[in-house]
Formats: sequence, C-alpha cells, structure tokens
Amino acid sequence: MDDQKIVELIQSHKHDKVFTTLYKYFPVVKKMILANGGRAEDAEDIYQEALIVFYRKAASPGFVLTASINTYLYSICRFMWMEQSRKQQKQNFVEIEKETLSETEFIADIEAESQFSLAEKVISDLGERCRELLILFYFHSKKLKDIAAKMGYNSENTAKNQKYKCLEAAKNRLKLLKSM
Amino acid sequence: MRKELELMETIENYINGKLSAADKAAFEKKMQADPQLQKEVQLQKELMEGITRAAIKQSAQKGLKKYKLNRNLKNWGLTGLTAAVLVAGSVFLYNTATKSPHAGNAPNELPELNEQGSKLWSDADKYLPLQSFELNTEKDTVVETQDGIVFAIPAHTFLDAGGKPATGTVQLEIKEALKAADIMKGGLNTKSGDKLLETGGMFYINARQGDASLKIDPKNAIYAEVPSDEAKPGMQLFEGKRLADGSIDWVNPKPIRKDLIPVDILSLDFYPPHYLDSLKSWGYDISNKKFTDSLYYSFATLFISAERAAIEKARQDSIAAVEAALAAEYAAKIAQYDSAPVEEHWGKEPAWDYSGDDLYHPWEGINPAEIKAVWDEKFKNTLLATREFEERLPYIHRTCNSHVLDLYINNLDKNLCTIDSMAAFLFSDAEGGSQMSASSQNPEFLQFAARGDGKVKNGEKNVELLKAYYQQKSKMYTEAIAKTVNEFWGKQGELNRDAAEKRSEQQAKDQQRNAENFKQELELNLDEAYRQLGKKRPTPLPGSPYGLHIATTGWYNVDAYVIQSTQTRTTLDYTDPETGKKAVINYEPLSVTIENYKEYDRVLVYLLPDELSSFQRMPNMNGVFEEKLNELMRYKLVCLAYKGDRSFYFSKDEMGKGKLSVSLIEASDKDIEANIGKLSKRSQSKAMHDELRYIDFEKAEAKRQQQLVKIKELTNRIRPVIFPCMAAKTDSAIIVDSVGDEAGDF
Repeated sequence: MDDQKIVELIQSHKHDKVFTTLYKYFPVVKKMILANGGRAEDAEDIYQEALIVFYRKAASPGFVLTASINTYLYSICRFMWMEQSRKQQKQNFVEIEKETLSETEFIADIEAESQFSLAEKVISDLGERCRELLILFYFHSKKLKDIAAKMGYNSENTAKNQKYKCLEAAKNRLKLLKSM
Repeated sequence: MRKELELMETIENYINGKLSAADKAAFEKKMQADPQLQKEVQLQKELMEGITRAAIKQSAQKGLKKYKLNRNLKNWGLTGLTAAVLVAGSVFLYNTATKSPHAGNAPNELPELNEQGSKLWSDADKYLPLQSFELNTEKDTVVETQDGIVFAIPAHTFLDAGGKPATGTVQLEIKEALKAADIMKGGLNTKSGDKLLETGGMFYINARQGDASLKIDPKNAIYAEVPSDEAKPGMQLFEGKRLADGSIDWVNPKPIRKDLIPVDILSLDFYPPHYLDSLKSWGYDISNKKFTDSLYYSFATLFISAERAAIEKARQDSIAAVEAALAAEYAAKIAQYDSAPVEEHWGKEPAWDYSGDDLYHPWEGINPAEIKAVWDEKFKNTLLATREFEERLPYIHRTCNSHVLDLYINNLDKNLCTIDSMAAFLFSDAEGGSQMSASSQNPEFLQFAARGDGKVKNGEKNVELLKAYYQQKSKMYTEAIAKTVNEFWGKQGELNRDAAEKRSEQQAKDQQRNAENFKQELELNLDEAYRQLGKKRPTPLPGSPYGLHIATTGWYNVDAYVIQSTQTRTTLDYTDPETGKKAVINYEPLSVTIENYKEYDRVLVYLLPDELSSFQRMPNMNGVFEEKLNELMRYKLVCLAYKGDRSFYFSKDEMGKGKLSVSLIEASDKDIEANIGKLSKRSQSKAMHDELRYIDFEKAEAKRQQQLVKIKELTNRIRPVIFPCMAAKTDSAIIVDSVGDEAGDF
C-alpha cells in the first residue's frame, strides 16, 4: 500500500488497517534506537508516539503529504530518542537512515500532541466502560442508539446521561491533576 | 439530567458549532464575563483531544500486536491468512447482539455433547457468549476474538475420531473470559483445587465438523496470544475440568514457554558490554568487524597454559634485556644525530615492561577464543543465535566466569530458562571446577529464568557435535591466536635489533667520514700554510698519522698550529720566527636558521665543500645551525627537512660566511636527489645518497615505533573494558597489530 493510500484511509477513518500497515516501518526505527542505547520497549513507546503524531496530522483536513511517511516517522523517532537518551548518555549518535527531515518539519506537531497527554491519561484511567463509551461516541462517531444497544444500556437517554457522567468524572480528574 | 451535566451538553454543542446563532452569541457573552466558564470550555476541549489520543493509541496498540503476530507467523511459515473468517465471526457476533438486547444473562443453547464427548456443561459454557468461526482446514488461519485473543491455526491441525487430519471446513468455537465481568458471568473462579490463581485470562476453544468435536494435532499445535497489560513471569497454562456443580476446576498446569526465534548469529553482538561504545568514543571505526574482532580475540593470549606462559615470559624478559642494553649504548652516541627537538623516539626504544603477572591463573574473565568459537554460522538455529541469548551475554560477561558461558553452550538442548536457573546458582572455585551452590551467586540470572524463555523450534539437533566442536575450537583458537601474537612481537623484537645494528653501523660511518674530512682539510691547510711561508712541506715520516706530534723539530710548530687550528676550526695566525713571514688561514662563522623550524619533524643541514670528497654536517645548536667555514674552501649548502611523509629542500651554490635565513620548498625525494647530484661532485652526491637512505630508514623506524606505541595504548585502554573484573594491570598483555594491515587472519 503506498503512502497516498494510507493517508486516504486515515482520512476516511479506517484506522485499524492503517496501523498494522504502518508498523512495517518499525524495524528500522527499532534498529536505530537499539543502536543508540535503547531497549525494545523504548522503541515501541517512541514509535507509538510517532504514529499518534502522524495520524493526528494526517487526519486533519487539508493535509497534504510532503515527505514519505517512512522518513517522517523515522525523523520524529530519531528526534524524540535523541532528546530522551541525551538525559541518559552522551555519546555520538549512530545513524541508520541517511535521509531525515529537519526539526522544523515536525517539531510543532510533536509539541501540539504532547499537550494532550495529560488529558489522554485521564481518559485511559477511566473505567473500561466509560472509556469505551467515550471513544465510541467521540472518536468513532457512533450514534447513541447503537451504543446503547452494543453496551447494554436500557435506552438512548441512559447512554447520553452516562456519557456526560463519564465526561464529568474525567473533567474533575483533569482539574485535579492540573492543579497539582 | 443534572444541571452540571446539562452545562456540559451546552458546552459540547458550542464546541461543535451546534448552537443557533443567537444561542452562540449569548454563550460567548457569558464566557467573556465568567473566566470559570472559559476554563470549563477549555478543559472540555482538552478532553476531546485526550479522547482522540486515547482512541488512536488503542488502534496503534492493536496494530503493534498484529505486526508482532505476523512477524512470528512468518517465521513459523504460516502464510496465506484467511481474513474472511474473521469477518464472518464478527458479523455473527453483531447479529446476536441486536437480536437479544438482554443477551447478557440468557443461557446459550448448547449442543448435546461437549468437546470430550460427554454431556457435562459448566456455567461458563452456558453463560459466556459463543464466538463462532468457519475455518478452511487447507489453509493457515488467524482468528481474533472480540476481546483480542489471537489464535494462529496451522492448516490440517484438527484430527477426526480416527486420528486423521480433518478436511474441508470446520466450525471453530471460542469463548473467552478476559474481563472481570465475563469471569463473573461465567461463574468462573480462579482456583486450582485449593490454591488461588491469578488469572491472565481464560478461554474455551473447540472445533466441530458436523456434530462431532475434533481434536488438535499435538504435533501441529495452535498458537494463542492472550492480550494482557503486563507479562507476568511464572504464568502457566491450566486445563479446565468441568465439575458436577457447574464450575470449572483448573488442573494440569504447564509452564508457558516462550519459543525463541533464531536470527542471523553474525548480526548479534557478542562482545563484552561497552566494548564497541568505548572504541567508538575513542574514534575507531567500529563497522570494521575485522578490526574489532581481531582486537578482541587477541586477548585470548591471556588464557594460554601456565607452562607456556612461563616460557613466553622468559623469552620476553631476554628480549627486553637485550633491547635495554642496546638502547643504553645508543643513547650515549645519539648526540650527533639529534635533530629537531620534537623528535623524541628517533633512536630511543620504548621500554616494554613484561614484568606482569602470571599470564594464566587466576585470570577472571571470559576467554575471547570461546566467544569466537561459537559466534559462528555453525551455531545458527541454536539458542545462541537468538536475541534472548544476546540479552544475557552482557551479564555473562560481567560474571567474568567462563563456566557460566559454558553452561549455555553445553546445554543447547535445554530450555533457556532452565539454563538461566543453573547459571544463577553456579560458582566456580579457582582451580577451574564449577559447582552449584545452595544460594544464588548470580541473582540477575534468576530474573531471566522467571521469563520462561524456551527453546528454538527444532534447535536440538547435533547438540553433542556442537559441544565437541566448541571445546575443540576454543582450544585451537587460543593457541593459534597466541602463536600469531607471539610471532608479531617476535618480529618486532627482531626489527628492533636490526635497527640498533644499523645505527651502530651508521655511527661508524659517521666517524669514518669525519676522520676523512679532517685529513683532507688538514692537507689543504698545511699546503697553504707552507705556501704562505714560502717553505716546502716535509714528507711525513711513514707511520706517523696526523694528529700526533711530528718528529721534526724545525717544522713541528707550524704543523702543530695548523693541526690545532684545523681541529678547533679557528683562524690560523702564525708567524715564522725565522723569516717573519705569516701564515694566515681564516675560519669564519656561518649561521643558518630555517624558517618555521619548529613545524618540521626533523631538519638537517649539510655543507658540501668542493675540496672535500664527502659532506660535512652542520651542528644543530638549538635550532640554529652553526659552523666555521674555512676560507680556502668553496662551500655549497644543502638543507633538508621532513614532516610526516613530505620532504622539503633548499640549496645554495656559493655559501659564504655570515647569517642566512632559509625558506624551504616542498619537493619530491627524487627531485631532491637529482638536485644534489647536479650541485655536487660525484663522490659527494654518492655520500649524500647514502645519507638520504639512512634518513629514510629512520623515518620508517619512527613510524613503526609510533604504531607500536599506539597498539600498546589501545591494548591498555580496552583491556579493563573487556575484563572488568581485573584491575588495570601494566603491559603484560601482548596483542596483534590490529591497527595496521597485519590484522591477524586466524
């Protein structure tokens, strides 16, 4: 599947297939991170973050592909790993790929994404049903009727009520975390 | 809905642009007045982003799982996935959900007989929803359940009642209880007999063709991946036994072994920890495997037998003694040839200190020859050729205990976790034995053991052969390496001796030339002196060399003065007491300075008088070349300088007294010699030719010595990295020249 097709899939909200495909670019990133003092888990975490950044960008309306997805992902991972590992060791960086984008191409995207990590943590910490409900509604844009059926709520209204309760819980938690 | 919730609804509509124009304006006015409200809106917006992020993350995690699974399947040779089956399964699921909105609590309709052919069904069977998949037995299939358990089912893996592989389509039945809710719904417990278990998830799997249940072919097992948040060590697979009261007891625990996947063994890193990093940080090219290998393996010389070590030591001591003596001798004669002050090793031998410890025991470390023996294609498809083993190697290196390494190599047919536990309890006593102790000596290996790593599929062939190979090769390599290394240093010793000899010869040559020069100059001076005095020179008595008293009284004084004057190169001013005539021969100073003198490695200045058959070297007085010129002679000047591989030159045809500052020009050696040839007489150019050849020799020698120093430095620096258990010792290690082109090819 070529890059353009991947972008089209993202924009038409067909993510599952997309992510499986995008992992084909993972081995090179893993190699780079392992070669520079990282472990397999670091590689997975960093790559996941890069995927999220990329996905967000590609899903935004009017997105146009200016570099190959491979290069984009690799460059982000390289940048993030350099930042992270600089705290741990100061050695010369072993380059795996020669072609990388300059920071200016993606630093804004990374920073934008990082602002939401607290909110995401709050959502992930919600109970499973709350989380599933919120994701089904807000991300997958499923109708309340369908959600009620799937999740076993008595009526559409119940689902709606539940949704806002979950949101409230999340909001309160977010307020709390932010004030700390 | 509560007020607060209604507010959230309003905010949401505002964010999504669902408010009417009027409402929107009103809301914005409210926002302007109330900063608290603004905050609420902001938070909600942020939450939306958080939800998006969480959703994307979920998808990404799923993608990672699929990627890993596909990777494993490829290695297993399972290809040709039938995705259609998955779709069929999820459609079925969806339909059941819409049909009965209270699907949660109604019992399922069950077939008459269970998978074992009896009529006993448990609550779990009744109350957990069935996921059904249609399978084509001719193809490998991957099935993913609703909660994310993935089954990889090879083709022909189901057997009918007669033990033959089922053909055509079969129905796969799966029930899962991964979530707490499902576990409760199914009345499942997490007890095995009386023991309480911590569950990573439970599932039911069966395959039917028609009404009959099929069995799974034990040789062709199904691979299941159960999703969990963390991999807990010590997880085991229990079989579920239905009890009469409808519950399930969990029995027959089998440890879950993670199968190892072999990779290209040469792509793994078997070096001691930080070996490559250190070399890299010192500026070496670590992609040059020949270099990194030969440097590391050369340390095998530290493991040769004690007897040989003693012999070796004795030999090295004698070499050292001879060299020390020669060095001392030469140092005494070095003054004349001393040129640029930067040149420190011209003629000076580095003092190799061979007075190290015993080369054999106790040497705490892993013998590199052992690593060399197994870091080899021969061990592909064994547990050594896995990332899992590579993970353990740094720890093995750090134990500095060869027996730990041996454990892994000698037990290739066992599970990796078994070997890990053996390693944890291993200690070796100094005499080379290894024993198991009651308490863990190497606790870090217990953590490895807890991971339950298993074996490489079909990696158990030829274990005995490989064991024997390993032992044989380790010994062989150790000896071969020691031999190569000794030969290298032996050769260096020889070269050192040759160099010392050559220098002696050169000394003799120099002395001879000086003597000859003196003789000729003296002749010249005497002739001139006598000419000025108007007298005839007496023939010298046979057998009376100049420099001694001449036994003719009358002329004694003249000769003596001339000799003295020539020797000291001072002006002769003699008056014949008889006739009052004078004999005057002037010696006038010449001082030559070289521009940028300090930048060259060596600088040499020569005088080529027409009247002598050879050349004279101008003495170097701290960078200024000074000599007294004899007014009777016509001098040519030649300056030579060298920097690295470059040569520099200057010549002057008529050199007179005074001061001269010389600016050298870069030239090729060929041109330099040609120029000298044109400038001087044949005998002189020949003498200079010999001189230049000698300079070449000294240059090459200096280079060789520099390389030896570099090797020595690298050895000393890397040794504590390779053998972290030994404190830094002096240069008792001897290694192969891995910096030059002699990289030992074992």
